[in-house]
This record gives sequence, structure tokens and C-alpha cells, in this order.
Amino acid sequence: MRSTLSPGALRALVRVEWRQLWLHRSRSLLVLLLITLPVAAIVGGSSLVRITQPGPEQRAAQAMGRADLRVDSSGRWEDVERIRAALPEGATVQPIFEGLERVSVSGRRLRARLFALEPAALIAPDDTPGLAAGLVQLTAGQLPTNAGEVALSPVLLADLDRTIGETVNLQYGASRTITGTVVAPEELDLPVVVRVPAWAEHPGRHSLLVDLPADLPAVDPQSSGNAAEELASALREAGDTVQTRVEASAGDDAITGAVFALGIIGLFEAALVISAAFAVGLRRRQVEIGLLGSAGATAGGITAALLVSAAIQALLAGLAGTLLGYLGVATVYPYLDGWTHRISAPFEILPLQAAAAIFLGVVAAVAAAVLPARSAARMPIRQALSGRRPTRHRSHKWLRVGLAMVTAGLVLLVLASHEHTLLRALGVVLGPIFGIIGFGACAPWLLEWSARRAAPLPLAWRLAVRDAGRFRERNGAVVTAVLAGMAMSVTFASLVASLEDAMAAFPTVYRSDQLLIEGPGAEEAASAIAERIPTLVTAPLRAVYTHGEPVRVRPDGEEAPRRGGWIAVGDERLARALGADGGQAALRQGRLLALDPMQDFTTLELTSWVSGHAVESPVFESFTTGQLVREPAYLIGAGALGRYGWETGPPPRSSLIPWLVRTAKPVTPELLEHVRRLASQFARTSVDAELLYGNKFRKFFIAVTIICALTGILIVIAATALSAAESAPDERALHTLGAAPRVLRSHFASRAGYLALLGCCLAVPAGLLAAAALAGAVNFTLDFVVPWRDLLVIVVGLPSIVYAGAWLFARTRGQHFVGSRG
Amino acid sequence: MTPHEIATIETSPAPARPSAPTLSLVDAQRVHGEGAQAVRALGPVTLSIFPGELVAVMGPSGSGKSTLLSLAGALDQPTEGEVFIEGLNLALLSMAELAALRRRVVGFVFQDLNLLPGLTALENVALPLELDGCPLGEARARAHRELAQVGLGRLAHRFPENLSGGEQQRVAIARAFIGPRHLLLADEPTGALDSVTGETVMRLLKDQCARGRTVVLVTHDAAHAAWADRVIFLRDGKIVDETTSAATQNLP
Repeated sequence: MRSTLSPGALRALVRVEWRQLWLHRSRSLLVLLLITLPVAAIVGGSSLVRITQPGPEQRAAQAMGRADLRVDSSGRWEDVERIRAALPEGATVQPIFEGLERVSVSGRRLRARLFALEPAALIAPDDTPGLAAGLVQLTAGQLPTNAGEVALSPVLLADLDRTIGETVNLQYGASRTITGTVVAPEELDLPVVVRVPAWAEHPGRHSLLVDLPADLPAVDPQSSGNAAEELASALREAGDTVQTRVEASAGDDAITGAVFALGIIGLFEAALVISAAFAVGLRRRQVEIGLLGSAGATAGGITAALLVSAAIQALLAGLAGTLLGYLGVATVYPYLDGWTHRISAPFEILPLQAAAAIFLGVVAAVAAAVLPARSAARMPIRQALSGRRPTRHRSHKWLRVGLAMVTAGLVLLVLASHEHTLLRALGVVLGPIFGIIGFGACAPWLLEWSARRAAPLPLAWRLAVRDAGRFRERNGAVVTAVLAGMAMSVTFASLVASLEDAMAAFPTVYRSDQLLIEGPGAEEAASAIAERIPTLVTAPLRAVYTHGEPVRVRPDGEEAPRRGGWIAVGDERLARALGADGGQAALRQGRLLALDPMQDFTTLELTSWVSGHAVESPVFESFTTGQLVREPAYLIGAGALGRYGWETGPPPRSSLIPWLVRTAKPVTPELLEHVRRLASQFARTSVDAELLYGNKFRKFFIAVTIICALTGILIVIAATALSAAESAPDERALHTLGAAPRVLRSHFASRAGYLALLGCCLAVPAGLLAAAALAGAVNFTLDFVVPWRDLLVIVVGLPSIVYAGAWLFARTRGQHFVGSRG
Repeated sequence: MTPHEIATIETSPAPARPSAPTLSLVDAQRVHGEGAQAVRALGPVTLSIFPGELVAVMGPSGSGKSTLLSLAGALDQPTEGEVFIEGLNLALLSMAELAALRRRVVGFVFQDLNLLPGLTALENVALPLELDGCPLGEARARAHRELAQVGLGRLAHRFPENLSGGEQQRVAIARAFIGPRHLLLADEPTGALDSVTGETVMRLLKDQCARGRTVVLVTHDAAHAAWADRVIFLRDGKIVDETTSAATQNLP
């Protein structure tokens, strides 16, 4: 007897499946949506990345203008001379300085990217583009030609409320006249300052843009023949940092990869829920499948028909997702320039991209259908016809698989910190995947284990836990889907916490409750602020001077003083403003306080700032303020000045004495804005605060968590809605027993909350595993930190939201049964 | 009985055999759909059932037996007429009061849809008390006693899937009578059971009636109907015949 599947039989079975799709439209629509959305996200996301990210030529221009090479200086003048000497005859060299600048007007001080260059670097005397053209671009007015002039980007002008012809203050020197507007072409919203080089930019700190003669032959005939590459190699051998145009134009596909990776994770989550949806659907069609079997359909034929049905659905969903993705991009395309602040690439439909996304969707759906289809098709016909649930097996098999995968994940995690790039990549990529799937595979066993221990729970939770245990394999898939999404959130939380922990070892610019008032009106502004907001103290910030220069402090005579190596001088008000309230006795005794020293030291070497005259060191002691700030790192009482013959003056890099204000509470954005308005009443007086220097990682983490949580909520609600149909008899039984609507709603909500809770709990170890792999793979020392507070928010937050959402969703279910048995 | 009386029924003495009926239907009708699509499922039916009675309802499929039971148990509302339980007009009760009535007065047993598969036999029996706010320990102790009365004390911790059909129905009967409930509405409780187990279930129901509780039994089986004090025959939604206990001995 032939057992192979004939095309006719398959056609007949597929026809049955096709009608089932129409018959159960809601469930079919759910499956379609679950595929459509991730495919749309992949297509739309990758299109947007391609459109909004710079191409190779733009990347090269952004890095080195029109030059062939960019050589970053070591900081020593003799190196610059050596580089110039090494260049071939005919090469053009343009020195530029790129750094940070602070631009201020009364009430405001902003940070900006500084380009210190001669006008010819941008526009040659013959009006042709200079070598630096592309780094910045003049958009209005003139380029600055002397030390008293400056060109700013429009965004800076708007923030400072200035126009061409007016003046602003820069970090060094007096006020400058604005001669024109400039932009960085690839970052139109970047605050940019262009001025001519000043004394502050020692020539040794310049980068050199090098334009090689067009007909320069390769020196080594055996080489690739590229003169720029040869020259770059030679300079690198001499220890210089060189970038060629080819290198600068190289694309970074990390974002595109990330979009695809996120889309694939979305598809993985969708596949798990689709698998649950198929399982529910096939369970409800058990008798019908038994009838097909009794009519002669083979198990293989039924499985094939179910898979073809899944593939057809996925194909339709993939097409819809592709259409939706492109439609979304087309809708936002007109606005992209304004959002990204760069000129976008043309909008194109890429067939390969669309095909890849559809293929992924079909693979996900078919993979999701394999297990439920095989189980349903292989059920003995008599059992299928009886409608009874198949005998459940204990979940130890799943537990063993899960633990084996978690162990494999841990082994791969060790590889993540391996020196070999391939092994490290394997560890980083496969470790977290094995971890997530491994913990997910443990879910059925956990569901069963919990169900056996549910007796003491309140009724609704007891039923939820026991129901989840009864349908553990299907619910295990749902838990894994939630786990996959939330593990990503846990991973980000851990990485952010680790980064923040690493950053905490570095000093901040100011205390969180400090304001620095700078400018001629600093004293009056500080008084005005103290009158209007709760303030602990205000004090001028003066530095100790000798020989007309600030005094520089080097712990244990270290060569390069790192942190705020100058001495602030003042009375108990300044001590309080710096957070050194308890050090006043030491100050009165003339001791030098080393504020929050970052390392142990035994001696302090004091010299004049520039000329290096040795200065007598007072007795010193360490003092902990609790907030490590960049400067000043030392404090001494005003009474000690006379003893050592010292004078006072503005801190290094300041021309006027600034004032510190210590507020009663940490500075908030609202408070800062209020203070800025107050300071703007005083000419050329600005306010600075730590708030303006905060890290952005946490915002990124919050965004990721919200996306993951929304995905998790959708998954659990969809899964709960699916299983609600199956447990309708239970709810009817509860209803006949007089369960109040509240109990029925609680039953529904508890089931959703329980699955979310289990998914979140398992996401914690899975996410931490991934975070540990990533932290071990980075090139710098990053101590792994467990973000307990964030984990608590994730583990409690999502299940609570899901519970509340399901409770609201179940609002009308209490009355659902009236008349249902008529 | 007022809604307040429903709330305090647990503290009331067990009902003797007053002349007032436990369950009354007065011209009760149930019509599904409207206009030309309207289908009369029941009625008009007028019927009174007294404490301690075991009343069997018989009739062919579609005659309105289950509809009658749904109206009697406040699972459905008549489109015309009124239903009274212990003199209380069900139409005047809110959803919450109807739910309280099902927790404290009316118990159900169905052919299927009996036990919650996620709860053990003990937990299933304790469920109405638990839903009514009874402390879990006390509810389970009383459930254990009730299970012992139906001969299932040793199977208290088994889940329904590990019980036979007859055992499941005995658990359902124990649940239907736990607490102060004294009106049992049974929809073919022996339909899926063999004749010996069916007899056991019927004996249980009869025992409950002997204790003053009231049972309304829908059945197709004349042998089981023979246990009843009264048999009501329905056809096309109407009562077409009614026999008393002596006559039931001669049922076909």
C-alpha cells in the first residue's frame, strides 16, 4: 500500500485547510498580524537606515573633507615637522584643529564642536573648495578671518538668540563677532563653531589634511599600487595615526544589522506565539483531524497540508508586511530631512530586501507550525475522534534540554572574552541565544512544577497556575516569547548599569546641587539666584596664584596632572559650596584639603602653572565630599595665603572669577531654566550645571524597555485571548457556581499576569547571561553590575501592567454566559 | 426572601417542609430571536416544586428541558413570565445577587461541564464556599465531609482527569449541596454513566431529598425518572403531562 503523499491528496487537504482559515478568521488574522508586523519592521527599519545613514563619499567627507589622508598629530611639534618631511613633493597640507568649545551669552552657555582653521581650508582664494570642505560648510555671511571673529551653526545662533553681526563669548578670550553661519553637512543640527586657530591650539595638536598629487606613482611596484595606502603604512610604522579616504568611507553596517537582529527577535517571539495559536487551533480541530485520518489521510499528508497552510498565511502576511513597511517609509520620507538633519538618500524598493524579509516570515511561520502539526497529525485516530486531550508527559525532557542549552550558553559566554575574534563573536552571538532558548525550554517544567504547588494560592491564581501547567507546552512557548523580549531589556539594563558604574569612577563636571555662574555679572547673578530659589550658600571660586600664575598640584609628582590640579581658596562658604562642610576646622589650621582623591598619594608637588616654579607645599589631608567632581581637586583656607605669600585669581582657563551656588536640592531642568532666565538679566553672565552633561544611556535603556514591554504585553494578551477560548467551559462552570464577575475577571487577568511574571523572571538570568557576554567582549574594562532596581521594575512592572490590562479587557466577560445555555 | 435574606441564609436553620414552593415558574417563556426568526424554546410554563421533592423532567431533544433548568437556575432569564426561588422574583435581582443565589441556594450538576480540571476533587467541592468568602481551611474541611458523604473521601486530592465518570458526578453532587444550598438542578447527570453508576448517583440524589433538599432532574432515562416523586413531560416547550410517584413506577 502506498503511503506517499499524492498531489491530489495534498490538494484536497490544503483545500480543507484553506477553508479553515476562513472559518476561523480571527485566529487566522492574529497569525497574519504576528507575521506582518515583524516583517514590516524589518523592511521599514532597514529601508530607513539605508535612507538616513550617510553613504561612503559622505562618510569620507565628514572625516577628512576632500583630502586623501588625515594624520592626527601626536601633540609634539617635531612629529608634525617629520610628517611634513615624509610627504611626497607636490602634496598639499592643511592643518586643522578639531575640539570642543563653549559658547556663551548672558544666561546661557552651550557646548559646540570647534573647527579652528584658516579660511582657505574651506574656500581657497580662487573660490574653489578647500581641503576641509565637507567637514564644515559656509551657509551664510563670511568665514572668520581674525581672532575677533567667529562663525556659528544656525542651531547655535537660535539657541543663543543671536544673529550675524552680534557677539558671543568663547571659552578663551573676549567677545567675538559673528561673521557667518556654518553647518556640518552630515549633521545639520550639530552645534558648530568655526574660528581661526588661536594660541590655545598649539600647532602640535593639529590634524593634517593631506592632498596627494593625482599622478603620484606607487613606490613599491609589488604593492597594490595605491600611493595613499603606501604613505599611510609608512606613517603608521613611524607611530602616527593615519586614516585614508578608503578607510573613512568604509560603511558601518552595525545599525542595519541591529535592525535585522531586532526584527529576527521579533519574528522569533511571533513564531512562539504563532506556535501556541496553531496548537490551540489544532486542539479544537482534534475531532476533525481524526475524521480526516479515518477517511484515509496519512499523518504525513495532514502535516504537509497544515504546513502549506501556514506557509500560505506567512506568504500573505509577508507581502502585507513588506507593503506596510514600504508604505510606512514612503509616508515619513518627506519628513526625514527635518528629523535626521541631513539630506536623505532616494527612496527605493529593493526586491532583494523585500524577498529576504518575506522569506524570514515564511520560515518563522512554518517552523512555528511544525511541532503542533506533527503532534496533531500523529495522534491515534481513535483518540482524536474521542476529543479527549492526549496523555500529557512529564516535562523532564524539556528541563534536560533547557539545562543543557543554558550550560552551552555559559560555555559560550566564556568564549566571549576570548582573544580570538571568531570565538569571541561566537560567544557573543550564540551565548545569549542558547541562554534564552535554554531558559525558555525550562518553562514547561517550571509551569508543571508550579502547578503542583498551587494549592495555597487564592482561587484565581490557583486556577491560572494549574491551567498554565495543564497546557504547559503551549504556555511554555508564550513564556519563552515574553522571556526573549524582556531578556533584551534586562541585558540593556545591565549594560547601562555597568557603564554608569564605570562612569561613576570618573569625576563629574559639577555636583548635582551646584550651579556655576560665570561672567562679569556673576556675583550679582549669584545673589539674585540665592534670593529666589532655596540655596545653601554662594561663594566666589578663586584659585591660588604664585608668580602671576595658578598653582598646579601633582600628587606624588605625577607627570600629567589629571584632575582639577589647581587649588581653590576661600572661607567656609566656599567649603560648603564644594561640599566640604566638615573640613572647615582643617582649613582654619591652614591645611590643604585634597577633595575626593582618586588614588592614594604621600606627597604633593606644587609648581606655578606654566613656568614650573617650585612652590612650598602646605600640610595636606584627604577629604571626602561624597560627589567626585572634576575641579577644583584642592581647597585651602584664605588664611594660608599670607603664610605662603600666595595671591588669588580666576581659575585656570577663566578670565573672570566665577561664583558657585549650592542649591538646597539637586538641580532640575525647570530650576536650571529658571536660573538661566535670572542670569540673563546680567550682561554676558551664564550658568552651567551638571545636568547639561548627563549620560544618555539611561534614556536609551528606557526606550528599549518600553518597546520590549509593549511587545511582551501584546504577546501575553494575544496568548491569553487564545487560551481563554479553550477555557470557556471552566468559566461557565464558575459562573454556574455563582462566581461574581470580579472572580471571572480575576481568573482571566491572573492567567495573563502569571505568564508575564514567569517570562520576566526567566528573562532575568537569560538577560544577565547576554549582558555578561557583551560586557566580557568589549575592549575596555567593564565591571559587570547587576541592576537590582531595574530588574525589580521589570519583574514587577510588566506583570502588573499585563494583569491590569487583562482585567480591563475582561470587563464584560462576567455577563457573557447569560443565555448561553438556552 | 429578599436579597438581604440571601446574604444571611447560611445562618438560617435548615428548611423544614413549608407549604411555600422552593421553585416556581409562572407563565415562564423563553423565545430566542425576533420576528420571523423567533424560536420558542420554552413555555408558557407554570410549575411549582416543593422542598424535599425530586422532580424529573423528561421529553425529546429540543423540548425545552435544558432551557427550563437554565431559567430555574438563574442562568437565563425568561422573555415572558416570572421565576421565583423561595418566593424571590429572579427578574428583580442584580447580576451580583443572582451570583449570590447560585452560591448559596442553587446547585447544578450537568452531564459534562461539571468539574474544573485545574482543581482537585476537594477544591472543586469547596469552590462555592471559597467563592462566598469562607476561609479556605474551613471550606476544605466542610468539603471533605461532603465528599465523605458521597463516598469519595479517599479521592479528595485527585484531579478530575484521574476520576471515573461516576466519581466525577458524585463530586459534582457533593459540590452542588455544599453549604446552605438546597435546590439541585441536574441536567442528565447520569447520561454518560453506566447503569450501575447511574443507580448510585440516583440513590445519592434521593438521599439528599430525604434531608429536605429539592432536586430537579432532567433525564432521558425512564429508569432514573422512576426515582422521582413527580415526572413532568415536556414537548415543544410545553408541559404535556405530569405524573406522581405511584405512576412513575409504570414508566416505559
